[in-house]
Amino acid sequence: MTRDDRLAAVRHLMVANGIDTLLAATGGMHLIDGFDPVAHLTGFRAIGPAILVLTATTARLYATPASDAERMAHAVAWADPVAQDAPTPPRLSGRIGWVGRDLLPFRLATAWPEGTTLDRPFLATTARKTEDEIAAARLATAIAESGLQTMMELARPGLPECDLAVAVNLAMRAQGANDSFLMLNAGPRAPAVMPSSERKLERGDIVLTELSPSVDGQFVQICRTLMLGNMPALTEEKYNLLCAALDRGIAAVKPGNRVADVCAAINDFLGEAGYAQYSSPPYIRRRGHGLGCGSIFPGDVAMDNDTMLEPDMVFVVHPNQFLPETGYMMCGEPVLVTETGVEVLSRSRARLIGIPLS
Amino acid sequence: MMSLTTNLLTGPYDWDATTLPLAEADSRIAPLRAAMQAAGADALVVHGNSIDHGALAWASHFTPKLGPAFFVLPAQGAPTLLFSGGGGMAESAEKLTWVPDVKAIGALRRDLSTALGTPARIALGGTAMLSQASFAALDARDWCDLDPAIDALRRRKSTAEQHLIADAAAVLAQVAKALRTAHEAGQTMRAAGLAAEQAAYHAGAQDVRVLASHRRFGPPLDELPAAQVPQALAWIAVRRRGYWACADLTLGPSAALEGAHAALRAALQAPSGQLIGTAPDEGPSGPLQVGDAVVLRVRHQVGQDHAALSALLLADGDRVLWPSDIT
Repeated sequence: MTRDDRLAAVRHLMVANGIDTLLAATGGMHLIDGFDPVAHLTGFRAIGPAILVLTATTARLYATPASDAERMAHAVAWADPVAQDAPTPPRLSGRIGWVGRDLLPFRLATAWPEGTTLDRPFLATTARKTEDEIAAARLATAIAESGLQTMMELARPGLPECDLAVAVNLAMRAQGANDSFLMLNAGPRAPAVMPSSERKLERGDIVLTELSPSVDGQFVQICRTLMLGNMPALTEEKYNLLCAALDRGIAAVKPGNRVADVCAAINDFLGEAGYAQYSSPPYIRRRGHGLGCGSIFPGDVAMDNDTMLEPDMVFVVHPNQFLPETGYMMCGEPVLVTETGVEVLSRSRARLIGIPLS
Repeated sequence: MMSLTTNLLTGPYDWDATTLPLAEADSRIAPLRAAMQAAGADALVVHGNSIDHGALAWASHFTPKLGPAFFVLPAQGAPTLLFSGGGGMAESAEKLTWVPDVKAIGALRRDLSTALGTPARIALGGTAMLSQASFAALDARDWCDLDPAIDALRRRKSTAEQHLIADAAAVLAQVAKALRTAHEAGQTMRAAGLAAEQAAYHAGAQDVRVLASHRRFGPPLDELPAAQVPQALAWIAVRRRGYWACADLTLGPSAALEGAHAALRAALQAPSGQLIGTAPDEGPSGPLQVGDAVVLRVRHQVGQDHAALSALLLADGDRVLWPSDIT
């Protein structure tokens, strides 16, 4: 799969839906928990809102700000980019389809013509990663693991969560990450993972983290749990339970299975262990999610996701879980669906990481 | 703001009442409410996201990290802060704001409706990057744009705000020094930029942006050339305790530098530029007013050589915070 193949697939989708002009939009927010159709189609991460106008034979990118013209011209010359501070719609003909219109600032969205929303079929059509994207995901995973090493070296009582997060982010950037979504918080019994605050780490804290660097716009994610100081046997026992659930989930990743099967493998295992009531909202919303230019296809690892797994899909499996005995803990790995099954992209699997203190 | 925003802001963002006391917050609510009522509205919603949240930060001291956030002020009664994230994250979100009532967004339309009540007319702030999805969730049949009024309120910096901008400018000086030192040592722009970022965080910054290029505006740091470049123009911005300071720099020798210095000195004689505060660009200043914090930017070209310089000025007494050596 190449980017040209993806564009061809989108044009097939346009024909199938009777669309003459597809408008693929981004608000310029490259959030891991969102999606960016412009980056997905072009590889270009716009600084601000942008719209790719795609017809059967042409492509033109209208992107902001005007001052970014030089970078655009260099990065996406094939898309004939137009740099403007407020993109004005060109003359559009025929039936119009939209992807990502809701992401645009409302004034910009309403200044362009309306059309048929194609978000979901667009994502389904473009779910497979390109060879370059898979290579980027591999590198990003190695960087995430390197970031974890940095975290293990620096985490100590007295260090504010946010200082640790900044240091890990800078380390991952120095390794080649072009962005990072890093959740990191700590406490003796956290209700959830959350953005870092200025709270200082303390002996006995459980440190929750998801390291999600991106390379060339491809986000990956590893989820880990660290223990500052002595590791209680019960905490380790319960963490190992989550790791076993992760193994069950990963074993269910193969072409032809549904995403829901992965979720069910995890939920069933934890249910048998007595945690069924903690395997649904408000405790758990999903057991993983898509990766790439945001949290895109195959979507959330959830019981209501019937998407069939296909080779070259990339997503994270994470049975992150609140357990009444320990509070919230995290373990998760990025996976690539192969022709025959699954490849875990991380080299070392989640384990409860003890940080010895003198 | 012209820079790629990192996916999740990770610096020290907690509200610190010793640097920005609650009285400061109280002094903003009454004029906000007055502006809302003057516009004929009976509720105010100020939006922000991780790219654009200057108005939201001014109203609430909240910095959105995961998605959009909304400061909701009814005609009477206390404000509410709605943030993107799970309910389990409230502990982290509450630290970011002086608003006592902080709620995670579950279903945006429902949560906005609950916080707003049934206003006949809604005033909106922070609208520049308000997404189509969020605007639709507001279900605002009758609304007015309060951004011009909020911008006017934000413009006059209090004494506490002026101190915070001066603190940010002090960090800026350290960032500039680190960037220059790394560049002069022959490091790549990417490595030099990372060194500058590191210096910023060590000096207490909560956010830092470095852009650089050979000529005018440059790419974000992550796309800086891997090769070492003898000459570059850079834009650096630092945010500390909610307030920004920014500067243009010329790195390496440039035949245009002397002319740029002369242009900057001339600009200081009749200053007008770009207002700065809870956002690095709060809009054009026009003629300066008391309480303004403003950045004056100049560019100069001689042949193929370019130079860019700037000054950061507090209009009260025309105090120049950056650069320290300009007269």
